[in-house]
Amino acid sequence: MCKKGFVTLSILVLFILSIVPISGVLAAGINTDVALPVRKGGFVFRSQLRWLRATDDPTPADREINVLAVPNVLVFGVTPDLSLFGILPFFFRHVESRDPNSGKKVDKDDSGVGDATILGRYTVYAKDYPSGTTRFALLGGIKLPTGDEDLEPITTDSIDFPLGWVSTVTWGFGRHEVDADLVYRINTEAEDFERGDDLVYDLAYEFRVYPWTLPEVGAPNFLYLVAEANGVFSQKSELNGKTIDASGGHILFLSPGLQFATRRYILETSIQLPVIQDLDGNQVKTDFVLSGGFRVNLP
Amino acid sequence: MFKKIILALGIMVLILLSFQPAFSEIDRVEMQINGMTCPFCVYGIEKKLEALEEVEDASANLKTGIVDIKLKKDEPIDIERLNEAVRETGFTPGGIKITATGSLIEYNGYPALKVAGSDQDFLLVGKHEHEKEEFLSKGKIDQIKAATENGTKTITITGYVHTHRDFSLALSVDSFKIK
Repeated sequence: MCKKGFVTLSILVLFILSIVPISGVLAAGINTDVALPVRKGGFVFRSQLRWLRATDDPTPADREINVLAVPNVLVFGVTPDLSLFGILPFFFRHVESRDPNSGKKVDKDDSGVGDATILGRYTVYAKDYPSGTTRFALLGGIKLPTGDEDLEPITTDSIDFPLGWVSTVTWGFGRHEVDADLVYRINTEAEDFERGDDLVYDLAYEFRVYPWTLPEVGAPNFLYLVAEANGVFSQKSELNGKTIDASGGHILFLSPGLQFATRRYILETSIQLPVIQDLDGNQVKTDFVLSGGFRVNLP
Repeated sequence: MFKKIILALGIMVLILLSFQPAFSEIDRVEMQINGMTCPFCVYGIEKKLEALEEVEDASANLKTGIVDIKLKKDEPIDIERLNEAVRETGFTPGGIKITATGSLIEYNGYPALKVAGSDQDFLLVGKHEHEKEEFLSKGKIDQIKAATENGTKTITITGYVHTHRDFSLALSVDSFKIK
């Protein structure tokens, strides 16, 4: 772990966690996990481009942070109830801040591979009926320290453990869908740094606007309007046994979006707008997270 | 002379037609899939069903939640294989409705359908989950027998398929028509 500038960059911890989805792979909320199944022996691949911008800095450093993240998710259906997720994100980070001596703006760019995560999702309850489904699943996995050191503290040297619950309810022959998840991440200490544990909560509602009325035959492409609430509670992080003041807090986004679903692909876009930013210490506040991406059924 | 040629050609056509191979005549298979409500889910279900060697094509209807399955010629229907394929997608198989053509036969005094061009027979029963009487009413049996002239005419029956304790498969008759 590179210690130089760490406390300054530690403000990124909270935000970054919210922009890399743990799973969220099928036709559901764009930023919310989903409990719909992946067929046995089948794959789903998802990739997104997410742009996070944070410029509201209460300190004289007047920091501006832009992060481009590309989370890639490959899902494999082991059994009808068990799916395995492999997640590998890439990041590009640009930070501008005012030099306290010269008063001039200086910037710093970093890019590389983020930490990989392996997850399992097991469906514990499924009730299907002709017009919809109700499902509950459990999530568990491990985050490995595979990322580039230059990207710290987006990447960490620790092995962390996300555990959670996901549910999906659909009704009205695809007219309505509600997804919800609750994921707790146990973050461990490594190289004298321990990121605070996180509790991620998401709620998504999708409403099919096209076709308004389903045709008598076939499975047409769907266009959904998506409304989501995506939140993260984060505990304070620690460095060398000392609490980092500018870390931890609570952030809640409201996230309108659009999703276009076909048999093979899903195209989607969303903007996450913060409505609550109760951040501890002098952390830079997020302006928005804009995302666009696709999912594809394989093979 | 011209009339004789026409007559000879007509006889040849009839002979050729009589040697046409008899194909299995399960004309239509409609399978209810519970929980299938988006096109992205449909992909996996159609793919799994089409991977079965007896299935030529599977096409989902999201309005009804039913997948239309076209079986390959000469292939019998295996409802357990179809159900297992759907279960492997994580969704729940519902009822399977077929339309099959064949002749009326008797099995231990009960009516059955022998599907044309295959070895597959279906015991004909009433609507098993809804009717108190398990087998077709005597009135309906007599009606079918009379209509097929005691099995000498071809009959097309539509109904739900299910396994039966006395017979491999049973067909709960929704409707029938005589060809």
